Amino acid sequence: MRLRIALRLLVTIPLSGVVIASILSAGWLVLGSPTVARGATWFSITKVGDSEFIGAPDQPFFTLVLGNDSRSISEDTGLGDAIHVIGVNPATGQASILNVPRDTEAPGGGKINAFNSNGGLPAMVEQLNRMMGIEIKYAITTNFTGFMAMVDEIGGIDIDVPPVTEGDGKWNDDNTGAFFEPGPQKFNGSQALAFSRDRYDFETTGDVTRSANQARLIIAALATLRAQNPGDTGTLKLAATLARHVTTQNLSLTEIYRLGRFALTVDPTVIKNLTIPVGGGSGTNLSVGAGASELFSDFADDATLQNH
Amino acid sequence: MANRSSPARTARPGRKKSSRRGLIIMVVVIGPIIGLGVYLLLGLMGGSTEPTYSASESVNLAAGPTAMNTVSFAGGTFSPDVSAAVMTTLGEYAESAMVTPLRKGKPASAALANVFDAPALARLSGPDRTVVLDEGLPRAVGKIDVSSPPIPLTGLADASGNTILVSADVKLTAKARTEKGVIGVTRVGTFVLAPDASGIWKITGWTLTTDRRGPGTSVAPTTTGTKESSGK
Repeated sequence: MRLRIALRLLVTIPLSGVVIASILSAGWLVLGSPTVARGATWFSITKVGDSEFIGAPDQPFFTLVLGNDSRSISEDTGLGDAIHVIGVNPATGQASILNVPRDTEAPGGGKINAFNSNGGLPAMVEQLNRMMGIEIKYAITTNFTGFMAMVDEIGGIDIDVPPVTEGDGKWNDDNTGAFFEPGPQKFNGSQALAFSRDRYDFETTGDVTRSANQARLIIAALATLRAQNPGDTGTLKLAATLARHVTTQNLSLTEIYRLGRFALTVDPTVIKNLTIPVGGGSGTNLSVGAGASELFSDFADDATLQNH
Repeated sequence: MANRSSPARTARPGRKKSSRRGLIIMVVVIGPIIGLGVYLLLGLMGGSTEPTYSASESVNLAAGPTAMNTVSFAGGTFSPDVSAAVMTTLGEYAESAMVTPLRKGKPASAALANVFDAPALARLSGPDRTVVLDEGLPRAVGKIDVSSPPIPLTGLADASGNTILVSADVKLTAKARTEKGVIGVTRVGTFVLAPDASGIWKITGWTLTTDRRGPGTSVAPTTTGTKESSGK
């Protein structure tokens, strides 16, 4: 008798549990799930973090950005008239640009801009390495057509045009078509080219100011692209755009992508933009001026300027 | 006496039938309960009695729209072969960086070497590791599901038309049942892949954000979600 009761209990208790669970489940389905009070903790989310790996160089490096005066679409051995050495320090995320006026006397003799037309990028790189005591790792050059097409393809460049403080104080150069009002504006390709070529509006400083304006344009382009936040996928498109219009040395398409991706992480507002000091030289040449050796030392040690 | 005892006697066969039925019900209902109890007990004891649940992983990844950027002015199309190769690598990533660590507590190093190129693999020895790999989490004891909306692929081709880089925009989610409850991983961002010397596509870069939720994942929580804000 006791055994029978025990067996019945053993059967009844689990069955009751199943029935109760069924009723609760049915109630849940009919009435809906219990409402959690607003603000009550439901579960925690652990923000593990962000990670970005580009594969760009992790050591300081130098890149030559050269504008040549060729008008031909496929010709990149014109005079190297826009000469900019960009130093980048990945560890600090800093970058500096040293601009070299085209008439500067090269270590090898003669104007430095002629080395591009005579020996291409390798010759320019060699002269600049000797001048600055550095080792330029990458070099890139474009001509008038390529430059304008690039600017147009990226949608223009947002730039704050500086006032002219020489001559009549205006941007009105018939030679280049540089007619601008100072202040923020967007340049298309031809405007960007005119801005970067204009030297006649700077009666006293001429090419020195022009060189600084070219670097200003480079920094403005970086800021414009950075504001678009292209990410990895957008940078692939930018790399293709760039590669279509430039000639490179020691720079594969993959490296263009990686360097471009890295460049977009650099804050444009902290990039230093300096033109090397120059003085009178033989004929129309400009000699490297006083203080240049200190400037080059500052630049060479870690690819960025600390004391200038 | 006879009248009182008679009905009792005649009821005996029915009682026997009822007892048998009760016995059957008892076996059917209680058997699994006892089994479950033993199962849980062994699970709680740990050590050599570690759960031996058969895995039934599910990794569902599919390529989404494709686009190609080319150095050539002629343009180009995204090769189906490249798409398939990239998706294979992403699938292997899901297996080796998400499923395997969730199952075993750590990823299989050999498998990772097939997924990441050398610089990327070296990078995983640093602080990025916890964002890229789902290791150190409670071990999964049930099915692990990894899925993503269709993954857009964007390529970069050189002047010869060879695809040299591909970006894959992912929103990977992993769900796994652990002994403490269900945990989830959300990994959003972009993987960049490149072919190695032998033509195998490997991950060479990334921009990722990873969130984890559920018991045992909150090592150092920085955000607390509510049902309303999390939407789940």
